[in-house]
Amino acid sequence: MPVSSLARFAILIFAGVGTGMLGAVLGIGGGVFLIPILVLGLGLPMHQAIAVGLLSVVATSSAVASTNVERGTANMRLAITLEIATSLGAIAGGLAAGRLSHRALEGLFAVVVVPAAIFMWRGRAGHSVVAAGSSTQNPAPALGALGAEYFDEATGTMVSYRVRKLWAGLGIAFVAGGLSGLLGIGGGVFKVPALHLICEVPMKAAAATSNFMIGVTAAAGAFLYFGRGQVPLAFTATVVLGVLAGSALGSVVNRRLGAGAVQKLFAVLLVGASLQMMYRALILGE
Amino acid sequence: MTNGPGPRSAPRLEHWTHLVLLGGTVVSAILLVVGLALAAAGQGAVLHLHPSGPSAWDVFSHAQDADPATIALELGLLALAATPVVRVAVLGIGWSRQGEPRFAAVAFTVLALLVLSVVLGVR
Repeated sequence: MPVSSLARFAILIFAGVGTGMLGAVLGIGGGVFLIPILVLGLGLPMHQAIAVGLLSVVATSSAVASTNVERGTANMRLAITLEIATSLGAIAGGLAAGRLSHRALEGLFAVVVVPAAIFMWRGRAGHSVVAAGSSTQNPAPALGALGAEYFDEATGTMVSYRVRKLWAGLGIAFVAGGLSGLLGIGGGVFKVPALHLICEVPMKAAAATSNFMIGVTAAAGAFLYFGRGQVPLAFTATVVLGVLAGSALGSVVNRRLGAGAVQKLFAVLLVGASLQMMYRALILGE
Repeated sequence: MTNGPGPRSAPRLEHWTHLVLLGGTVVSAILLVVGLALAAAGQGAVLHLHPSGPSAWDVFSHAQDADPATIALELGLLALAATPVVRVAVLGIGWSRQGEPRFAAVAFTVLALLVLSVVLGVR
């Protein structure tokens, strides 16, 4: 049944708002949820849906990161270090796109995400917290070159942390970048658990840093779609405007959420994403 | 500067990064609103499904033949995609000036990779 233009507009706006709010709270781009809405709900061709997804990720990242950077929750030094790996991964993923089926990748994504969701739900006993009180202009040497600190509004305390196992984080960032180039997602669903569980970055900083990074990854892929004329302009513009509005709302909500609530919400959404990707891989055959 | 825990004022580089990201999204949003309004005024229904169109580069190389709505929407979305790229460049320049050559080199490496991806996409 054809969807009227007004109904399409409403669906796109609300999808964008939801995507933006998810990005602000969880540090993901939201493409993994947006693309099925576009393909299944509106009948958009897959390659165009991917283009919309990539630009929505850029919108979420830019809007939310602008606030997180000011607040100090986004670790720019860690992000730029990991962006080498994600950029390389995105290029490798884009070049490999013609050789791997989306079905195979979606099935792999569905399998890999489940253990991450379990770990996220369980949470960790603690992270590498260093005593607070050091100057933000000259972080304590114990934090290391990539460590940082930020003021957590939810708890009213300064949180300091040191980054561990950077090489493992770089490896996962490379994989996340590759999947971004292939599936049109930002890769935050991998980066946030990796930053938190492996690199021992506090959850809020992990979400903020991931959100800061995914814009670069998605932008690299988006330029490819511009070149191929596969960006549906009006669809994308409508979703992006919804994303920007949702990001603003999400930033307000995020300040008042505790880290534990964010973690469990992310775990639930990971399971949902896993089931959705498995459905696409096994049933739709996309 | 506060003595106890509390929100800190953003260091200079973080502030410039914030401005680049905010400015990019604002410019993009304005162009997109203008583009959608022009499209709605000119055609009525704007959200029709259609096959892929010309590449963005073709649109601009034949700008005299393109309608204003298309140009505004293309510009808005390109401005959005360019925002993270500009952000990386700002970080590289900022860390260079702050005497942090290691992170500046990392930022310029990421910038080079982004340029490479654009070149590979255009080819």
